[in-house]
Amino acid sequence: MTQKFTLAMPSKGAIYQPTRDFLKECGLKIHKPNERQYVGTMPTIPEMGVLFQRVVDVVYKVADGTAQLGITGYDVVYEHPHEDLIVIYDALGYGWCKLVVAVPEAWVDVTNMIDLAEVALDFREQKGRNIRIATKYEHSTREFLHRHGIHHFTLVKAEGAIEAAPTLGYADLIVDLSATGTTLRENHLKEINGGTIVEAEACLIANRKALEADSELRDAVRMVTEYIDASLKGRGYYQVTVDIQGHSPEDIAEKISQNDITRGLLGPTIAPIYQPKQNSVSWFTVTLIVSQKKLLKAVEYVREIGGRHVIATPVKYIFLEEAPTYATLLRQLTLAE
Amino acid sequence: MIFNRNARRIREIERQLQAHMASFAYDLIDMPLIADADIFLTRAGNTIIEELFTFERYGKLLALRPEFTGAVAHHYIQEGLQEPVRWQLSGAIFIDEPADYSLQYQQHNIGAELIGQSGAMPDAETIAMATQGMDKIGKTDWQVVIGHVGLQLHLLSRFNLDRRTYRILLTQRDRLKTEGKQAVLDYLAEILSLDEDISTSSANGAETEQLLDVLLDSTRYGSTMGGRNRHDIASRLLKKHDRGTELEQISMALDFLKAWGALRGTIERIMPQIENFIAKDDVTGRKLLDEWQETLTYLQAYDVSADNIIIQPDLTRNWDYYTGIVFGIYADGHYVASGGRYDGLTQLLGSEQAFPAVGFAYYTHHLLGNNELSSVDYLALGGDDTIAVIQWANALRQGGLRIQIVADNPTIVVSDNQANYQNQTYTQDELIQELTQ
Repeated sequence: MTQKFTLAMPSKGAIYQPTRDFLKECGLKIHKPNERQYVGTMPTIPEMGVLFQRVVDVVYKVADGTAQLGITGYDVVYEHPHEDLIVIYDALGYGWCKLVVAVPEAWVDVTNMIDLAEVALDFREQKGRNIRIATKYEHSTREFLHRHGIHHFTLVKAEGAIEAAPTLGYADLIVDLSATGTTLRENHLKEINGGTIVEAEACLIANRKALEADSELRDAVRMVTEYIDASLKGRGYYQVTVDIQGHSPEDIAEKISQNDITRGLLGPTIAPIYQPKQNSVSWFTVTLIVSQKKLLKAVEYVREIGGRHVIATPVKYIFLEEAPTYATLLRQLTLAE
Repeated sequence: MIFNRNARRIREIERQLQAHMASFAYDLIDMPLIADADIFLTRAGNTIIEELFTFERYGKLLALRPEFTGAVAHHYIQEGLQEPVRWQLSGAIFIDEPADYSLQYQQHNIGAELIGQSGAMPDAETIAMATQGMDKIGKTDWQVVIGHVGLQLHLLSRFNLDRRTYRILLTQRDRLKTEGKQAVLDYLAEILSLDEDISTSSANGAETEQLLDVLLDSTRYGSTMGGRNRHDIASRLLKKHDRGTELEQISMALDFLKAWGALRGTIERIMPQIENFIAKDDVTGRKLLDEWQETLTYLQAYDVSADNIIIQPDLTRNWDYYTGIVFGIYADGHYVASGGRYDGLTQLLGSEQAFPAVGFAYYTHHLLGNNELSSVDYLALGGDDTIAVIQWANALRQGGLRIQIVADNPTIVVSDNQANYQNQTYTQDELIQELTQ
């Protein structure tokens, strides 16, 4: 089948494999027939082709409509704003990093952006030149510095090994991505208070005009967002089944519902267990949906009320009554009557 | 809307003002629309910087000109000029994301710059030329508000504050007037780390240890210095430590600014009050005030009525490069022109010499007013024989008439090599004579 739509995603780099893993976990596995090729397919949505690009090119391809959907780092989208881009998910839960201003550790007098504003002025007035900042995030840096009252600076465009720029002497400080801060420390640089320009994760973007013009694309996007929403929602929960002895389903339901943790999304599902010899007290299997963070507390509680044989299984999907992200997306579009 | 049907009005104002400024020997020059952004970023105020229309080409930050002055000063030093010049300019200027959404990104200014002459005479000439220009374009209801950035800075210098603190204080004058001194102090405490604890912590705190580390060339921070040396870092640390002691000075500076900012009124009422701010032994302050007085005297000689002059010593403009007298012309509820003396700009832009300079610009969009333009009279010419109509139109245009050829309802009907106009029949010469009388 010829793919009618295209999802652009990174071809390499820090979020390439995590993106493939993420989509696979969401039920949107990518099939790449040949590792050297730059195209693939998405069998769950046959009309969706996949195009592998550099992270920045993902933004360009979606902005110009070559691809209708794209997954890339939010830092890249932040750096290249475009009126035809719409961000469907700004944080898909992986690829976290932050874009930060980092100055030499030796600048012990600089601890925040106010200090940096003063130092920028000192450069101008005492050294007769602008403070130099190495970065590949020129737009974000410029906008951020102006917002903090720093107007006199020169951006030094750099690709790769930016952290070395102050040591090598072609910049005074840098603006770059940092996840753990290790690379900054190894290069004798430090972050400063208030110097985080943006925190970013992988994000899903789309071409606004294409979405507004094509109802079939919207249907495909609805499917993508349904899977992602359901998967993201499911990740926070476990399905717990437990056998509990009681007089009636109502008796069990009352005990289960007394605790907020075990009350579930709507309430417990209770099914009787068949026992050949009828006793006055019966056994029931109770199925609950429990927040991952509160799983152990839930297990402790069901034990307290007589539960046995607790089985906890990760939830793969939770489909709500509507796809919330798709509904939000529709509200941002101007659709023809 | 500045453009569209206002084009004719803009050209008309332009023509009148250009002729007016030419009578003061201001020669018309033009500057590029696009220039190195640094030309405009030098000494631009925060508002200007935020509204500067910038873009990059081949790693160089360029800007669409937001005004003429920076480009003119840059041109003066690029040309290596030494002699005084009087230049006038007219054309588009650009504002990114204008605060007033009724305006457009592209606007129009008409301005003049006098570079190479200092003193009261050029200041008076500039103000007088600007105000007389208002009369030339038929706007007689105006006031000129005059302040003195140089005197204000001089009086503030008594408080021994660093330049950044001065600048921040000057941006707080509105807050000082509306919210009071404590609100400004609270704000400054936040952005200048004005905390009395700083001075005490400096005696034994961690920052002293850091200072010693820097001075003793500690290697724990590595060799990465990013264009600064240990002296830079140590002296700034000391400055930070001293800031706690600046609090009292800042408080006194705010008291001064509050009293200074309350002055606004006629020459007769305000100038004596300004004199009270200047100490008897303050030679520089006296000199600046004398020059200001002299400028006002010369304005009388230019027939600028004292009734039209408001003295407001804390008047400032959006550009930080002004060094002396500043002024704004107020009409129809807006400042329609502004300018002032900017003696240091050429040096800031790279010249070894600080050439004295003064200039101003009219904001053309505020000069257009709501007056309906007088309609232009065109004569409608028509007839069945198109070739004859074209030939008649040519002849009438050469005779000085404005002719439009129309298909329906012509005022002048051409037929059989004659024209019928208001039920009379004319030859070409007769008609030209009739209509040009």
